[in-house]
Amino acid sequence: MSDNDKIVISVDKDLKEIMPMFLENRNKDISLLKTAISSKDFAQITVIGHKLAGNAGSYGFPDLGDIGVAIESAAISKLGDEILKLIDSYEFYLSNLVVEYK
Amino acid sequence: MKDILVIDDDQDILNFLDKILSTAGYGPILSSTVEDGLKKLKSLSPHLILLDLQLGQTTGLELLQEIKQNPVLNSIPVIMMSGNVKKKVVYESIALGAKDFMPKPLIPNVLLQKIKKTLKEHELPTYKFKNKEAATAEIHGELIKISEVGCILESTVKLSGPVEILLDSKYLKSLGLNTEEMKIFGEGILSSPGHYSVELTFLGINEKTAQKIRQIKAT
Repeated sequence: MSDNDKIVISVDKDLKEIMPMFLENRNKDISLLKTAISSKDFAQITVIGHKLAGNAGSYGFPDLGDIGVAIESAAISKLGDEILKLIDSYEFYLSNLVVEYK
Repeated sequence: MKDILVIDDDQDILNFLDKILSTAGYGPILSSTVEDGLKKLKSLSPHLILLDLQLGQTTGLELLQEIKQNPVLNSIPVIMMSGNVKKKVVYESIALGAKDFMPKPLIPNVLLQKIKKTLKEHELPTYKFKNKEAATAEIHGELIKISEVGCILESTVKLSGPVEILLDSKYLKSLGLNTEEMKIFGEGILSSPGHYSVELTFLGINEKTAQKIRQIKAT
């Protein structure tokens, strides 16, 4: 990743211990979303989006939470193309995320 | 330490709350399903429940309703959590008996303030007299054995109907009270083995003894 693409987020140091598991689960989300969209499983996508909307902000990633809200909304409306774009955004975010602890 | 039961099907939220609550000095009890949550609720008697609104196929409101209709569980305060913050949902939660509503994403400071406020409102009043520690009661089924009774406490927990109470009454005897003359009972609901404060009502005592007890209480 180039320096321009880096997404640097400062989070509470109390979350340092549980952050690796959270990020690992987010990468699993990407795989699950790709599988779900290929089989047009919008119910599954809705669940993933809903959970991301609820947990990302708690961990200190409000922008990621916004992606979750958008995914959930697109899944409810069954907007496949929109979901694909959002998966790309999600993947980009995770690939370029740098977490700092304060 | 106050125990807090968290029921949420999102493992990341459970991990998050485990961390936040432990750091704040609470004892988190985690559960990811309704069935497991109810089991832990009945066996561990937490001081407070954090309950997610959406739990897989079951809604948190259904579980909330079940808790509030249960005479043993309904005194435990519940804070609902959800990313769905439509007024209708919030009102419905409160109408069903939730004490508060916490929107997601969870902000630790806000959540901890809500927990502190709710626990304070549900603090069980007790009083002590003289220098004795508060009496504790071990529950064995419906039988309560009270040891080292050193004071009479304000009633804080309801026991299920009259229960037999055995007294290790050395202290009371040392006050000149003849416990063999007394029938002692408590009333209310006990949900699980643990320590509770109980109110003791003395029956079949003469006025002299009753006066002595009143004097002890007033000290």
